Amino acid sequence: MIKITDLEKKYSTEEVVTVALNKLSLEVKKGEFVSIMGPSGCGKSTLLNIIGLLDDPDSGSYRFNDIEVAKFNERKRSELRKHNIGFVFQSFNLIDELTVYENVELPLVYTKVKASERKKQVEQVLEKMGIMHRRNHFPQQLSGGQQQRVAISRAVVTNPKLILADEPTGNLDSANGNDVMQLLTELNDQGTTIVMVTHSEHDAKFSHRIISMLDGKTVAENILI
Amino acid sequence: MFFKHLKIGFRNFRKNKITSTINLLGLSLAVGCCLVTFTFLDWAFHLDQFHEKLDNIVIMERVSDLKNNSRIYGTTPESLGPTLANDFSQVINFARLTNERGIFKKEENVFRENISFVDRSFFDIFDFPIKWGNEEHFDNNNIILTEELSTKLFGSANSINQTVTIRFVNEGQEYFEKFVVSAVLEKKPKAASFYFSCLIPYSKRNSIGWQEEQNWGKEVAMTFLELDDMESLNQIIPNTQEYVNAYNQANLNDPIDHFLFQPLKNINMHAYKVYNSRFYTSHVAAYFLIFGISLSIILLVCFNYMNITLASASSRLKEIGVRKILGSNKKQIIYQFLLENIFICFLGIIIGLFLAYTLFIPWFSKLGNLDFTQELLVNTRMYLTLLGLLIFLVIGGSLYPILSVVSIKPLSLMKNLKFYSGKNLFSKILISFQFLLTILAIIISITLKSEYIKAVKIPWKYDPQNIVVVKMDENTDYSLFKNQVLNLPNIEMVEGSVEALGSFQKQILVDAEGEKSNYMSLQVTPGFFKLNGITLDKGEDPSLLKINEGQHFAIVNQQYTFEKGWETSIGKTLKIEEIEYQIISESQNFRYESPDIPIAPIVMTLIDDSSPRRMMIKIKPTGKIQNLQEPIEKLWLASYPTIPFEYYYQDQVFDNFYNGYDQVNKILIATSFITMIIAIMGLFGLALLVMAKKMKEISIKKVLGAPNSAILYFLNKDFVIALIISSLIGLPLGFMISSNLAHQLNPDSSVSKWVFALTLGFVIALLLISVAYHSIKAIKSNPIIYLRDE
Repeated sequence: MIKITDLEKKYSTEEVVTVALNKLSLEVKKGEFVSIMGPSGCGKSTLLNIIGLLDDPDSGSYRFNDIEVAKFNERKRSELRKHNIGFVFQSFNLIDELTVYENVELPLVYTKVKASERKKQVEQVLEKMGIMHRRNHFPQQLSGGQQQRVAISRAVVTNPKLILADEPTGNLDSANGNDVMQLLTELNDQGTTIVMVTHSEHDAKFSHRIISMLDGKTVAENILI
Repeated sequence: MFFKHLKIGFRNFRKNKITSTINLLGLSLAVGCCLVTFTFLDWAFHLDQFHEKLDNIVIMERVSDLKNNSRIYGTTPESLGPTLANDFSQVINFARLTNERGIFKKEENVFRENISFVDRSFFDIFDFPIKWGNEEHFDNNNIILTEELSTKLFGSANSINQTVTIRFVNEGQEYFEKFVVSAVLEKKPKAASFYFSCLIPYSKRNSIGWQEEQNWGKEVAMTFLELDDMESLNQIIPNTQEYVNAYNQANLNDPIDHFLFQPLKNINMHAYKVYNSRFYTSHVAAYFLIFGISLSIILLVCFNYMNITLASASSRLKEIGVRKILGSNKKQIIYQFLLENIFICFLGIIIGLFLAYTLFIPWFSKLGNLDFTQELLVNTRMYLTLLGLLIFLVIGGSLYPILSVVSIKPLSLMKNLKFYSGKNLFSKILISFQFLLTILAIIISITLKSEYIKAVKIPWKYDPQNIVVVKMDENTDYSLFKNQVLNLPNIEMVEGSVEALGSFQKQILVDAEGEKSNYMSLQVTPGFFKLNGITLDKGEDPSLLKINEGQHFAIVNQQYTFEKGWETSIGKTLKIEEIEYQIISESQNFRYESPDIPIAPIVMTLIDDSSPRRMMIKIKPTGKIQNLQEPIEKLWLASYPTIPFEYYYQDQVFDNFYNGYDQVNKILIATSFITMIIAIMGLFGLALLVMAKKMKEISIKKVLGAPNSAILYFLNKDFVIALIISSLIGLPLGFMISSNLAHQLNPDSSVSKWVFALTLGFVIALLLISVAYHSIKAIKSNPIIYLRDE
């Protein structure tokens, strides 16, 4: 599903050039659950952003479902993103002015799903995530765990092929963190590919494969199953 | 989707209550002000449109060449209209309107009215709306009343076929004429550039002794022509010299240079140039002034709006980023934000319309003495203006911030880069502009106010206090009434004049040592100078003179002598209308015209007690002027029960001069006040958002031991810099504009330094009011709250 070859990404200021990704190569197969680990500044978030088509590499190849996407413009990236990728963030990134229902509905609005169909899909996913009773609440009225459930609901409502999770449990206590990991595992069991960036070894154990990064390169790979 | 976006807009409005309310109030005030401007300009530029033939109507005027000063007069010779209609086939019709004073008697109530005599063709040219009756029966025994006069005479009842008797006096002879009301016109239409109180056929003048002859010496108030096409003027105007010659031959004292053919359609841009114009129009400067004020206010609000939108957009970066990540394209985000802004601007327009209709326009109507609210809500142009305003405000106020935000990459948005941190150059420019406009508004209004105060204090070089002026009638005996008045207690002096001092002077042709020139003139009794306290510098005291049969004396002002280049005028002889006048005295230059007109030479000829038309009664300082008005009126009514007693106080003449001044002043002060309110609100809102952005940084500085002064400097330095820059530009610019303005109003005027000090004081106070609350809050805040990361 994802094939990355010799990917490079540098950030420059007037005086310093920081290499975020240094000729990195990586492959993720459909249905895999991959964790990326490494110290702060090793380039894991940059990698996730490039996989999620939020950022573009300076050089190298990135093939998504056998299509070269590294040079895609913003419009094409946006098209690909909204139909194929779901995001889960550490800080949830829910829109404060929208209710739970509206937050989850948003990706369907942008993929131009009909209103009646949207309602059905949103209710289905809220039910599945166990937060249907909170559908009319605003994010600030929910606990952290509930907010992350909403964020996961929003990520999966379009049935994406890939979910990218950036420290999904970073802002949660262990109980809620476990719940979230359980949800991600269930999604993966249902066929969704998941790439997760984490600092937590405990969370990483939920995945099939752990990729360790250092200074913009992959330095180790552990297969767990 | 539309309603979803509206719903989100409403939630954001509710979430940011303070800044949203500031935006909304600012918008409402600006819209209210713009609507005042709209009603005024709409009125000024759509005058007389209810006349179907407006495009083909011209009004005749004459242009005289007064010494070094060309003046336009609206009065024209009686023969001009018929002659032009006869000589030029392009003139389809003509109509004259001229006024005579007549007295209506209604039971015990006797009152004088201006009676307008019009040619029958008046109704072929004009379409004044009729309330009752029709203009077809308009012969010599008929009168057409306006609704105002009909109500005064007959109450609200239909007055058709009612009879009215009017007393006219012509050359000492009284005429009591009966008329049957044949039509009543609607109340003065708001759009009418001229009006009257009643109309009588022009031909009726013959039976009252004003026979119409081929006479170029007799004048009518207005002459209108209906042309086949305005292009025809190109053929008519070059061939009018013979009429100018005919006029000049008949009016040796008052020669003209040419006749002016003024299209009625453009009277709004012209009438202010006409001496004693009969049109209800404004000075062209008023159009620019009011438009300029509105434009400034709307720009100020746009800057405010843009600044606040720009600043608050930064708090929504994450939202936009999330939307983009979830697949929203630029168009969808722009649509959503535009809709939210349309929602706020639309609300602002609704509140602005309400404010305008209930508050601003009634206030403005009171100032202008014209009901501008009339038909406002059914005026399609008003709604188009509101639509234009909505588009302008949305685009002007929010498009730039929206476009700036949507073009940021989603990743940058998600990282919540400081899009607005007070370091934004564009925002700084906007804040400086706000200050600049506020400074200009304050300087101009303070300048005008101080000019007004100065103008009121201008020495008139005569004393108008304690003088009652009684208007005499053709059939009243000045001499007899003077003696009766002198018998009343507390009367110091009684003198007379033909013209009203301060509101009307005659223009005469004076032959001085063979050089003929036109000068302003007054005809006065010998004690006129003493009564008015006009100092006579040189020569004899005319009040001690006894004028014998055949003797003619004149007094000139110093300006006359100065312009003549004489050492003294005393002893010189002036020839006026073939009569020789000996100059016996020179008066100081006193103001006999409005203060904005430099004192011009004037020739005052002495008359005896047989001809004054105005009686000036000076009350002793010990007497109260109000207490004497009643006994004078009683005396009058005892002698002349059928003639209305009309009087005024001489010091009221000055009020008329200042009316226009006062109106402009009030408008400017009100708009400056609104400008300051908008500026304070805008800065307050902006300071709130800036503080929210800077609180983490402030907290870190506090933890590191920064003193309060450093915090205050950090928080407000951008505002202070903007204030300094705008003052450096605004004060000199304000000086230029206000000096120019002051000079227009009074050539001797100059803007004093304290105006600038006061302006600067106002703007600094404005800034302090705007940022004080946030500054105190920032100093008192607990840094831990803002440094906590969970």
